[in-house]
Amino acid sequence: MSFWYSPLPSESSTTRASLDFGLRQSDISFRNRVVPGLGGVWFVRQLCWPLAALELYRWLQKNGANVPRPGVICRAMEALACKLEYREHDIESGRVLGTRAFGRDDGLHKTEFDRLRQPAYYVHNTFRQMAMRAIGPEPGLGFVTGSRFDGLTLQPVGQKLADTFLAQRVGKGGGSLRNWLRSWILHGAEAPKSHGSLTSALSPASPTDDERECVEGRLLAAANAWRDKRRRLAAAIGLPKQVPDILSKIVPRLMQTNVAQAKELLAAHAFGAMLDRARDVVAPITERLEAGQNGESAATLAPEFRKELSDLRKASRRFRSKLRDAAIEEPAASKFARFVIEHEDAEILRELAKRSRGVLRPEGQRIAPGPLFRIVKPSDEEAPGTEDAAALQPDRTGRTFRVSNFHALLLDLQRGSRT
Amino acid sequence: MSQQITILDAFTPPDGMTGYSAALVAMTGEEDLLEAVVTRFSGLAPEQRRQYGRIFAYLMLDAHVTAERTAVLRPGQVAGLHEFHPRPMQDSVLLHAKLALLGFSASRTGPPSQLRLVVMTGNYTDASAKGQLELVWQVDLVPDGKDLADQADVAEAARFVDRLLKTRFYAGDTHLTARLNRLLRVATRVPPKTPAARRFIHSLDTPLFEQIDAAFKRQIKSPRNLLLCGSGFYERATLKRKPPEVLIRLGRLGVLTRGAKRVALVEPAQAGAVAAWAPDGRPPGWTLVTPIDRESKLRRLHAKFVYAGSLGNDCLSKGCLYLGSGNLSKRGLLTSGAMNAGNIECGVVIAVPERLDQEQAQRRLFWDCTFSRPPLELKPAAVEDAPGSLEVLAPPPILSANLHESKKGDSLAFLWRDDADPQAKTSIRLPGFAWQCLKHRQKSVPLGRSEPPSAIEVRDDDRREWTIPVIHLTGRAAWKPPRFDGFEEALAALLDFPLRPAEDSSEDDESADEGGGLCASGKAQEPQKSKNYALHEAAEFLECVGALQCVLDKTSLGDWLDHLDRMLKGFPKESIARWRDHGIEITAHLSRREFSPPKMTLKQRSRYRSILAEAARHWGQV
Repeated sequence: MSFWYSPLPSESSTTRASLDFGLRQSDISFRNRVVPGLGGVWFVRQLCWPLAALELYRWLQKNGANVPRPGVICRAMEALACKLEYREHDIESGRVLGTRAFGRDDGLHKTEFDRLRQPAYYVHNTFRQMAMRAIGPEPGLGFVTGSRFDGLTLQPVGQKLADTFLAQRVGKGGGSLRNWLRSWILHGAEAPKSHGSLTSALSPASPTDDERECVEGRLLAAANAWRDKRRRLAAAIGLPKQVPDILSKIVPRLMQTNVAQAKELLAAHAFGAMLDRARDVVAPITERLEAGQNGESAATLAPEFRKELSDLRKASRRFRSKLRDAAIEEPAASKFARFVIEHEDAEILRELAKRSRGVLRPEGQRIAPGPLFRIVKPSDEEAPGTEDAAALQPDRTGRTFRVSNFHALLLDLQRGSRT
Repeated sequence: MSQQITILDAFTPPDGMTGYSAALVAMTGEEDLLEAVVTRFSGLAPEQRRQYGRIFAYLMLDAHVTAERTAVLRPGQVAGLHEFHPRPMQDSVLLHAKLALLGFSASRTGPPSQLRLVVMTGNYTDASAKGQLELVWQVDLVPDGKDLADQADVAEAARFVDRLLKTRFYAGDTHLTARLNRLLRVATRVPPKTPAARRFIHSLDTPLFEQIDAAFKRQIKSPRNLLLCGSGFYERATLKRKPPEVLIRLGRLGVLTRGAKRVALVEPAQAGAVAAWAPDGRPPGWTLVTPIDRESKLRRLHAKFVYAGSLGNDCLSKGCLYLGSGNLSKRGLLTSGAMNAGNIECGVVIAVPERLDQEQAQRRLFWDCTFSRPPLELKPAAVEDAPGSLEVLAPPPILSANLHESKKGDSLAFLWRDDADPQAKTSIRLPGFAWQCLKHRQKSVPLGRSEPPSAIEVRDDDRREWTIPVIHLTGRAAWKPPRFDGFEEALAALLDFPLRPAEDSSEDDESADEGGGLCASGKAQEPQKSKNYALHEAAEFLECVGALQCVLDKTSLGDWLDHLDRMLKGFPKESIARWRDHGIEITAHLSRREFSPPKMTLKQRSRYRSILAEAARHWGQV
């Protein structure tokens, strides 16, 4: 069988998306300090789907069925949830993945398990992958123990959330979601073309109050260091529709309850600003150079980008100062900041080129396009454009260190909200 | 199906199959896109492939140095992919062909039972995958099946790959290339057909234009009223105000009516010689049009094609299409690899009997037949389809090192380049050691007690350095054996069979969640229940492995033996030492009938025994 076509733009996300100057670990470390244990979670159902998949697998296997692995069940269930939501509400929730795949082959009404279990009919990077940290043990929410998803064991709180989700009533006969999913997985049942209760039971946008309560309990209630930290941050954020400004709103409120936490947030913010200023130096240089060129002397480029370099130096000084205030050890980030503060402009340019992951490369005294050369957008335009879970999250640029994700989750925990 | 797919979908195995081996040919390639291609094809995430150690994809790119490409990919840079070193040739031939020959199998150990040929207009780059308008022709077939035309095309493409490999690259070690050779053997089983019966064409011997011309004349019985051409590059700009030579020749194709409409899609910023010929965008006898991108207005035309068909009622029909790597330029269509400054190109000439309505024409040929917007401000641009410089990538004097394991100690045996300079000094460096100078064509170096490396560094007289792969006799290259923290983890990994697909591996949890997935897992935080009792561990091991082996079906046995071989070599030394201290010979027990897989062929049984013997040697049990 042969055919010809013009391929669509590929969805593949690449390592080139982020320009982190070799400071990715520091970036991750700051995120985990600011919002501990949440990973990439920002809505309740992101937690329900994987737990329900683990429970369905255990239950079906116990009843002697030949069952696909939990990871496969979770992918398919997530895909079904997104597809039904897309059919009925389009993408208004902002939590729908796979729209491109759903549009293929008039496949919007095809909802078989065997189809949706395949990445080709949904996406490769799912919501489940971003929820792994949050469902795990402290500082996560402690719903499961174990290491690989297929081998995770539900803890009593995780079991409760899974049972709550699966106990929802769907369809005219009022059967449980658990039973409907069973026949969907094992017997090829398809979702009816219009089925409000099923859509709602699975939807990324409509968790039940019981589910909310379960998640809220693990996120904020009871006392341990991680939950205390999250609770204080939640109080400082409040519940406005838009996430409040970190420096002018959240930090001052945190200062009143826990100075150390506020200083940590300030250090994280200063770190983000330093990364942004570094990107702002590299971006115009990539505009200036062209792939295939021999590049230009760093000494020639430096005066041209004096302002950007000066801003980077200021941001680095501020970061070092905030790091000292917060008494945090981040050796890699600190070393980078010290280098910027202590060296000449041309030296800084060469160092940035070296750390640009192949976008630029230093060649003696010159800065040349690297093997992965591309035009880098300045910090205020940088955003991933691929259709995966990371691209949908509120903190898609990483600049709020997951405060935006946490804010979105807090809103989703409000009763009666369909955010 | 054919319209709503990306280029990566061309590498997705058919249902129920897995990627076995792929030959990838292009002018250039980038690590990120190749990573995505190999992940899609193998179904395994990078770390899984690294631990698996087999080569899934063999890459052949042009030899010339460019700003973006100053060396071949290091071993393991894209896990599961091996890039061949190009031979430095005296000519300035550019390898510009773009294709993928893929073999799929029901099991990871093969043999390939389904083949796919993908002929593309784009390279293995992000730009081609996301930022350019490209075309693809794809054929899937079962070898020895009924469709002889498809088989002839696949066989011709395989012969083309084989010739490229033998004449323009260092093919290297046979253990390394075993999977590629197997793919090529299966694909070339069909005897060559006359050129008339083939759609696949290449320019190793004859320029593409002659073949396109002949194929059009053969396929088109009555004259057509439309010639539609597209190309990312039309010829280097000159000061003369005359059409590019290829357009002159295309305009004279003997398959057109007297008043046929001749349309050329031109990227205004990269018009090449067209800019000098028709600065106002309105040359005599031709209609110049800006290409249309229905998906995203940002993509620019890179596809190269020639379509001759009938235009009527805003539809295209009864067409014949060339698509391929050759630009509508002298080097692209009028030269061959046999010329001193020619291009090696490939493509297909196919019948397009279906009607293409307005939307189809926009989507598949980037042209709106009801409205033609002439391009404004044509510029010659900087693109070329000739080598930017004559400098070529320097090959290393040693291509690879074979790991030889023996009771006396392991050693590395070198595969020297057949044309390596006999006078040149060569040094090697093992990870963690100093450089050591080799005698010319020195056969091997002992490894002593050091752990076998996955790759070693090589340096020549001019202090040029390369990294070359270490190859195991089993064919694993740049392999990092799995390492486990304890018995439970090792046993769980051994029992985790078949290999889970990339999307279900825990590795992607880490990549998607920058927070690092489940690194703070229960397993890591809870105190490990250490099983200190050698007998208990041994019993559990035998019971679990024996039970799994008993239920394996015939098709998965090959993969299982491969898996067993890898996993046993990574078993924790503490467990092995405890078993040895208690005189428990696990491998001897595993070879007993009640624990062995029951449905093995004689060959598999022999392999099973040799795996156990090798593990026993590795564990110091014999």
